[in-house]
Amino acid sequence: MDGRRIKFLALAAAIVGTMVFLLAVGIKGGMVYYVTVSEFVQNGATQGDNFRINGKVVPGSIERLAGGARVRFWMTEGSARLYVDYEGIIPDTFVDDADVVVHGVQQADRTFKADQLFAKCPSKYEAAEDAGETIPHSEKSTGA
Amino acid sequence: MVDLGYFSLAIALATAGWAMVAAPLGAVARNRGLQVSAERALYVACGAVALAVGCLIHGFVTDDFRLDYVYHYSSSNQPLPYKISALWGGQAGSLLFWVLILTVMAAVMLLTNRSKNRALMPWTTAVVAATVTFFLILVNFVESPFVLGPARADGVGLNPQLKNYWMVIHPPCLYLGYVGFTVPFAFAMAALVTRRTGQVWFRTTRRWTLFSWFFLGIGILMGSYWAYIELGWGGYWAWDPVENASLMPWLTGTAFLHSVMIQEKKGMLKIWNMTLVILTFNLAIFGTFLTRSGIISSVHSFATSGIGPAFAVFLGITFFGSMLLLITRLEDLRSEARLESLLSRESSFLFNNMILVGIAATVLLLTTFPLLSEAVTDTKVTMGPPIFNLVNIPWALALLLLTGIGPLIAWRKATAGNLKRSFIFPSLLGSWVLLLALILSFEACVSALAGLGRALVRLDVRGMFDQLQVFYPALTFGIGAFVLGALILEFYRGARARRRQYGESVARALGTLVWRNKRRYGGYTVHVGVVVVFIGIAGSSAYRSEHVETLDPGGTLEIRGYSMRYDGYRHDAVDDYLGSVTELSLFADGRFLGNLEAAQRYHLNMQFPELRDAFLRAKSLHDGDPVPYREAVGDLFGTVEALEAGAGREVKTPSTEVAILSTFSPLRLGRFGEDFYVIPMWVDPATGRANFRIFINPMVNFIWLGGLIVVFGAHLCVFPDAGDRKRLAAAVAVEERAVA
Repeated sequence: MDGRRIKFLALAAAIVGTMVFLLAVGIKGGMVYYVTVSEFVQNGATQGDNFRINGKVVPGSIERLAGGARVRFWMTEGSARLYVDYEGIIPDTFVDDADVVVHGVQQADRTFKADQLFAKCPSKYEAAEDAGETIPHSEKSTGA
Repeated sequence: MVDLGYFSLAIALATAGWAMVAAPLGAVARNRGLQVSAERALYVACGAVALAVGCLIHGFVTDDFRLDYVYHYSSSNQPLPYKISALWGGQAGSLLFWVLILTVMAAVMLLTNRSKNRALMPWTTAVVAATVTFFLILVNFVESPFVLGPARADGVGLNPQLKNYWMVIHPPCLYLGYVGFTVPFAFAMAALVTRRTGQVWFRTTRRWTLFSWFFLGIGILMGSYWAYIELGWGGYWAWDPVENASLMPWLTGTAFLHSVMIQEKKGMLKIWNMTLVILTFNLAIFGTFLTRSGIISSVHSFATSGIGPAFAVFLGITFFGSMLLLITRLEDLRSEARLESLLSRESSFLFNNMILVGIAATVLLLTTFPLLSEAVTDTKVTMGPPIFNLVNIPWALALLLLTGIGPLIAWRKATAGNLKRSFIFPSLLGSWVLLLALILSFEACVSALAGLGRALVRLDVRGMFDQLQVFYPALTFGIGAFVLGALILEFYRGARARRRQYGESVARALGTLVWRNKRRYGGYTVHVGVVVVFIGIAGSSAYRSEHVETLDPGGTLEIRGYSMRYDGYRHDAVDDYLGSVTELSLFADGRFLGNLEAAQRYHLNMQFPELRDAFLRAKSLHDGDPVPYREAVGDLFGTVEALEAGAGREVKTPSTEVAILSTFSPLRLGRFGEDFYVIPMWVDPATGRANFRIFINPMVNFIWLGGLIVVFGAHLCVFPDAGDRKRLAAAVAVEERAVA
């Protein structure tokens, strides 16, 4: 292995190494635990700690506060329920029974204070079929 | 029609399966009849799939709600364009659409290679047929678009957010890109099998690669644009898993486009090129797997089904199969030359490739992190945008720098003279712009340096990079200027040479120069577009402002030199929604800029008869006397409230229509490309009191403008130059001699 080869490999290793290093730094600082509602409630989430929680919006529980920038609702998954208080831009896909992911922090009064809210439309067909109900609502399915 | 659809798909599967088997058999046994049969079978498959698609579209157009798929994604009052585009609105239909594109491309591939590449064609047919067969298995047995349900009166309708021009065109563009990479991959596999590992396999698919890269890139850009104007959160990229899934093959595709140039000119990087095309194809399949299987939570995902495991199996076969084939043919992929110097065009391209692939690998790792962490530690850990940006931005800037270095630096080994001659002008230009940008943001820079020092003392790497972020926009502008300087120099030198030799005028020299070397100057134009896109991203991320305020009709708000007046509001009962529309006027420094309309729309659940009647009544009075119309709208709101109280759930789906005013006027040069972006968070139907969230996004339009420049440049690249055909023929001759 001559000098050129070594130099090149060294530079390549430097590039790769820096990327890996940056990744390591980023990952260490940016870990956000991703759990379901029942996991979150079960593991008795401590106050603080950054969490992303996935669940469905309980139909009828959406309370949109005047101003359009704040909403309170119940989230459910399995048999667990969580009360969420979110402030920020509310996505249009946030409707009853929507599949949501909230990011935020557990408060002392067991409300989940969310600063991020992601929602995607429910694919109602399977769920409705399982529940045996006919579909009277205008459900919007997830698109491309 | 439904039966016809079912049968067509079954026939397509049978013929594609036959093609997959007969083609390689025919090649190995040197049986021309089998080979021809395989090609014909693929043509038949194409026709059968087209027929099936026709049947499904027929179902949409005739409102055949017995079909589950039509029921879910269409309704009787859905406008025709959306009825047709609903074809790719859901899982099964989009898979069928994928197969359609693939089989059409297969047919084109066969047609254009009727009288060339005859040694490679049976194997390319086999690979393409295998892919077609896989997707047809999915569409026949796992996710069929022709599943029937009970007869139903009306359909559910397409998601309102998808009823938008950009969302109609974005998936087809992406699919053209994803699917298109199948052909270069097939040729690569054929080259490996037949040991024709010279230049022919990628030269003959140059335009396929360019075509796929182009549409994938445009698809990504369109998706960002749609997100920007329709989703209404003021941004255009969120490092969402599905977004990342499309970005990864595009990155490796870009790397591939560049590294094949090195193999063309120097016969180097043969193994690397093979690896890249294998990676690109597999990442494309992986991308669609990520999107469809739902294994990574994303706001884009389709509903989950049995599709995940099937894709995983197919991906395993193609990836490991192709890598295995590559390893057994390493002997045939020996380089014809060696890397001589780190300061050379070869190494610039190589570093460019490493960075591109490195970014793709980073994105892959961060995107699949939840899966990996769950497998290893049993807890799911996600990675958000900040980490993607932390890692990728510095490397993106390095990549931008290389874009300027690559075209200018000499082949093999750059001498001091070459470096001086070529780089003085761009470096000076870049440094001046960098300096200017730093001076203009002097205060921010100084405090960032202080913060950097503090973080350094604490050995807080994260903190250091957070402070470094302040310098990114200045660096982007400086490096961008460097690249533009390099490109200007290239155009200038080329034109000057022509003028010296032929005495042409400047305009004519430039024109002929570009036309005679479309590949090179088309590529340079694409680079110009890329620089513009980078500038747009830097400006709109670093300098954005946000403001939230509640206004009553008649009120005004001020932000960053703009003055927005809330003139009034109205209710629109049209199409299939009720809109609360705020009418706004925008002024800047006293001058009137334009009128805007930002609205909160409510898509009403028409399955409730009282709601449906109240809506239709209001809609019918819309164009008439305002008084009864207002009453009807009031009734409508009342009906909604009553229903929601009674049903215990919402009966309307909201959708936000943002209002954007872009500045392109030369009179406001400092704000060129800036967007005044209004999100109506909420509008009180009775009083009109509205809560507005305003974003000022400087330079954001450079992103779309840069995209247009890339489109133009890519078109230039696609057309062959005069010498191309001769050179390809020469390459073929060389290869045939090598194999014989």
